[in-house]
Amino acid sequence: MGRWALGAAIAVLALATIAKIGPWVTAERGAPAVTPSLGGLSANNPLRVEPGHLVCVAPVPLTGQARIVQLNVHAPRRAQPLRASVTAPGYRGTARIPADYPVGYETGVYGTLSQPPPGDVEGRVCIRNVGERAVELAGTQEPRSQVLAQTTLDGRPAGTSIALSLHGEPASALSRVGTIVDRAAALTGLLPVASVWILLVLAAIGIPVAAVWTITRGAREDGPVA
Amino acid sequence: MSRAAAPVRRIPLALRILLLVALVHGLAWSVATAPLEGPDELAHAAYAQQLAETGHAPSRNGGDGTASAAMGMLWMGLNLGPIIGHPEGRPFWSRVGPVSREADRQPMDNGSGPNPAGNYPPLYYAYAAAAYRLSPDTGLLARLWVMRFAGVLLFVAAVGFAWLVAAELLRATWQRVLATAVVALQPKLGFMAGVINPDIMLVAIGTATLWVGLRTGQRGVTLRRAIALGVLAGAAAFCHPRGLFLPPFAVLAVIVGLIRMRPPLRTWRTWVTPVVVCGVPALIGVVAAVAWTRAHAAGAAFGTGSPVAGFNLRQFLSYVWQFYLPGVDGMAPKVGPAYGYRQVFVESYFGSFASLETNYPLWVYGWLQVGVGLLGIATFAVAVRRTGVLVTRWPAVVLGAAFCLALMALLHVVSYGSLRGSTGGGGDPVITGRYLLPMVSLFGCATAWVTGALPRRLQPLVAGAVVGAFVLLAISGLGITAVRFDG
Repeated sequence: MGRWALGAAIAVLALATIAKIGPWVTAERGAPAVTPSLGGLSANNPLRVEPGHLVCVAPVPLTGQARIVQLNVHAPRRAQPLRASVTAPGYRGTARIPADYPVGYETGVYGTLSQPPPGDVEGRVCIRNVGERAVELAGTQEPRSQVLAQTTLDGRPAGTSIALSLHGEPASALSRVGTIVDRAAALTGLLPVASVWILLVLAAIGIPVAAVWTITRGAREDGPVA
Repeated sequence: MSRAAAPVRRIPLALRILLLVALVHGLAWSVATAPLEGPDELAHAAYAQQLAETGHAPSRNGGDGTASAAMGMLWMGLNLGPIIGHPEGRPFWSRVGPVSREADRQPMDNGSGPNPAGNYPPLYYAYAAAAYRLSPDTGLLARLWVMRFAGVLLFVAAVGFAWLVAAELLRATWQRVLATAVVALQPKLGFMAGVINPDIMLVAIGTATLWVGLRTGQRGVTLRRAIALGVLAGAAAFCHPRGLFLPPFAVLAVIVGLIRMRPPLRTWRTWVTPVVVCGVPALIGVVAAVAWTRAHAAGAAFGTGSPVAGFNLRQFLSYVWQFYLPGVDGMAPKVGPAYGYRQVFVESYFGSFASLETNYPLWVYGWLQVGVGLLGIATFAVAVRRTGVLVTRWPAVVLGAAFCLALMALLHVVSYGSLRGSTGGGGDPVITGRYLLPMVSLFGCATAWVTGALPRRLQPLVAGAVVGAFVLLAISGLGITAVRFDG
């Protein structure tokens, strides 16, 4: 009888791994490298940026993984080009956001940095409207989404925080396991990285093996009862 | 050495393995979830820290700050607070070192309130505060993780008690294994074990109370069992406001045990003594909890803001009906938002990790809803088919049903109280899937019981498939959460 329990458990695990988990862990997707300023959960208070004006967010804890600048824009009639600049002591990267995004509703726009930041360093991200008409950058004033970084418009507090994030190059969760383990260990403030690796192996392999073994052995021990 | 190992050897091997599974499961959650990202974890951690640092609990209504300056620095400096509710938000990993060092230089003892958890009684927080003090590293991040680790130990205890509950209700070893595996692998329970939250202590105490109650009801009352029931029920009340459903259950278990034993009525002491030795510690726990709450939270929980103030039975019954079923003609519109069975018994019972914003894909919840629905229908069908067996084992049936009904009644009364004044489908329903977790051992037993009623050839297949499915839920939930915070 244990054989049947074993077979059923392995079939479920194998099927799900092949159909869903495998594709999920190997699919390449953009991963936020830093999210210094967030949009609203229940309140959207966009920031209107006229042509030539400059919006900045600082301080931003830059990381060497940052490659792409993302923000959410609403252009009422015609898309406007934007230029992002990311600066830190001894570093300057720029990104063009071309005017090829949809208009009439809020949409995510992206610009690839000319060069990545040199590493973990405090910096600033600025967005200039280099178009001919005003655009609105998504943002919020809701207290629960307020961050340490301040958003300024032409050097003065903007009164709203814009939604801004820097992303790394697209990569799969599987290829980022080492980074994930390092970060998780650091956030415990106590556990060495090696112990989190051991925990990962125990969770990913030990739990399935142990759980399936116990039900298999249980079924073998006394057989099912009606 | 061998004498020390003897008690461990007496534990069945399958249970030993499942306890280890629970340990790894809970530990993995404690690492996968970024600090302070659990449900209301800042409030719970701040409560425990204030107790550990000053010996005093925070107030719900006033004070010099919700959290200490040190915890506040982690909260904002690592972006932990702002990203709550934002699945796209990430902690500032690159700042962990400097922010953590700076936080450790800040005052740790100035979180006297207002703390939203300030009306909670202190038992869990005293336990977490002990872990805080015993941390091998005095840095605040490390202390937070050590408090989480203490919760994982409670989870392991809950799994042990779930095995004992299963042993009271189920005959076959494989059924006990299945029931316990469902508890050890329940993803929401593992998650709650891995964050700082009194819910996990309530689950452990609740499962222990259920076990002693079943033992008392089925095997008869002894003084030790009656005292144990009273102490556990009192501890539950002094641990969590939702623990208030356990004192009536404990007294009922003693009464059921007495009815089962049927001592002669003329020996009235045989009847009264167990009820008293159970009721007194339970009552002390309740009174202490009420007094504590009144002292730390004027007007909340047991005062004028109590959910039972202004109770309208007709509206309450209508609300409960519409929580589970569509409304019928003549019924008043449901109070509160469109929130009911699926959100509570499916989505937030199995998933909705972190502060509810980290979820399985929707299709997973669809399948879980089918599974939970099938389990409910099958449990009812098997109960009807085996009415004779259930009548014979009426103490277990009465106590199992009473345990669930008492908890659900408490949850619905509180939820109704919160929604009563709301209009236009608004209001906070204050009922979510994790509140059902004290019943998790009965959920496991129902799964195993229904599986045991299937044709013999199907039993091992279904048991294996259920364990496989729960393993998948546990591991994929961990993966989704780890990528959400650290990927």
